[in-house]
Amino acid sequence: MKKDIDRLLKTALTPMDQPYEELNNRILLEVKERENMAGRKRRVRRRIPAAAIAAACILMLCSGTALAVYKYLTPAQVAEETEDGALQEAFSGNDAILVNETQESGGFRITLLGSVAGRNVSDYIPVDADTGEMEDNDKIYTIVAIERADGVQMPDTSTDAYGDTPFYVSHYIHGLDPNQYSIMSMGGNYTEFVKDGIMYRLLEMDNIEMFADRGIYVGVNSGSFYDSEAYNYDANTGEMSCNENYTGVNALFKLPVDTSKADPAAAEAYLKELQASWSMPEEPREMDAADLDAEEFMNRLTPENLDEYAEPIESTRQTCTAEKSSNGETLLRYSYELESGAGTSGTIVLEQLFPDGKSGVNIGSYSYNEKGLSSLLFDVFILNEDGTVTFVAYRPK
Amino acid sequence: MKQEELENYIYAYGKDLYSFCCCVTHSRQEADDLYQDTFLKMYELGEKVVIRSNAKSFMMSVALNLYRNHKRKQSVRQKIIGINVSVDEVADSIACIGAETEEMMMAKEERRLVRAAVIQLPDKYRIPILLYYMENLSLQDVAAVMQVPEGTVKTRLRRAKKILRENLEDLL
Repeated sequence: MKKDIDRLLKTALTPMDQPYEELNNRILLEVKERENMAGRKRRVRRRIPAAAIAAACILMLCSGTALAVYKYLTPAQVAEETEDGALQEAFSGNDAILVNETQESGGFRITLLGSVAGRNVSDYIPVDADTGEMEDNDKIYTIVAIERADGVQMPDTSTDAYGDTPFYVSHYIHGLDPNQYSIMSMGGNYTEFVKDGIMYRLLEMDNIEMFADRGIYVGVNSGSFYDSEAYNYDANTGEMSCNENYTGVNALFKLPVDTSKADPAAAEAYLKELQASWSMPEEPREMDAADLDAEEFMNRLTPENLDEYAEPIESTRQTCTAEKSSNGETLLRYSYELESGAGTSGTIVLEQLFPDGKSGVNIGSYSYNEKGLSSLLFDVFILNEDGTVTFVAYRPK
Repeated sequence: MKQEELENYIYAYGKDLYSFCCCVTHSRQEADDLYQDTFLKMYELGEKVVIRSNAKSFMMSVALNLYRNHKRKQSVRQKIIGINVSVDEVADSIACIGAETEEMMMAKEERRLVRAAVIQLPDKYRIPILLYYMENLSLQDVAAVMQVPEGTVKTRLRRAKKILRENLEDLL
């Protein structure tokens, strides 16, 4: 009997590795020792050297920039927290750009701490999964600190509240559409932690110092993606600026990269290669019959002909739970699971589904497997007259 | 967090966490260290935060953050060598109680092949597969643990399954 990959994975990956008793006993013994030492440790932590208190008083009287220097971790300390010794050393070196500029936006204080770039300046070197060879690691690393302007501490990464207020942090290049050229498309990722109520984000992208003559920005906007509402981009001049009417966070800094590092020829070559990669699928393959059927079906589906070509799966029908995010958006949550094991859960923004606020139908994301059309499932959202949103999963008739 | 509370978590989630550690790291020693470090970190954090209803997601977040931080300072070449070792170790760890029927042996072999294929995946695909199928976290929880959007989780799961389908076509 043919097996479904989902069932195979669920069966084969059922947890079966039992930790041996000695390992658990070791943990509990360690905890017991820590509890026995707890009193002495607490006293050590609370002791604040008098010199530090005096220094803090002096700095409190200084400019905002000096306050930033005192208050935040240095870029080298941020790298140390992520246990990246090479990056820590790079941020301590002459090539590092220390900025320490703060902007207040959308109820948050955003500070651009610094940046450093180069080949293999990080302990973490990516390896090609297929060949095992170390990949070229010419990257730029930039650190921002994010804190609430009202002084309330940012939630630690281990708490439930962490992630409730996401931020999109990226470099941008003057003259390139920020919607297309940002951390998501230019070899980026990030590491983040919270210390003393301040969030530190270390972002990593392809080294774009070659664009130094054009101008490089660092942007921080609310949400998990670039928000075109947060910034104005003038395609004629290539200038980016903040949208003053935006209600969320939209900080924008100019990164003072040494223009002698510009390399127009390399920049053009990089852009050509990047744009070429966009026109190819990440895992190039021929569309098989299953793909064509499902894709063709979805391409011709509209809210108007929905019930002609598809049928709702009534067991999935539900009213989405709604809640307001910190930037005023309405988040809708939904989830379902079928007997076959297929299912999904998600969060989607109401204002993106129905921008004009009028009741109607929106066809959302879809999925299918190698069986093509017969396995196709897609999400349908219905904005009702009373303002509620109904979610239903549909399948082709 | 008191010791008794930690003991309860070890009892409730120890097997789930240990299985995850065995599949996400590349040697039994690393798995043991990650397992131990995760519970000790939970104990430390337990003094500062209240672990609410989704304790398992919280535990997976801690484990994943520790794994990522540890990986950033490890030599990559050592880890590549470690992959083959862990596959055999995983096979050995699958329990065998009493005499095995042919059906049990086939099921065991199937598990071994699937887990070996999953372990060979790069992190960005292996981790969501383990969180979703081994730990039974929802897509929302997987996204929260991995600190990526849900859409990214879906895409990575889809691509991971595509790779696994190709590598396990004899089993499907």
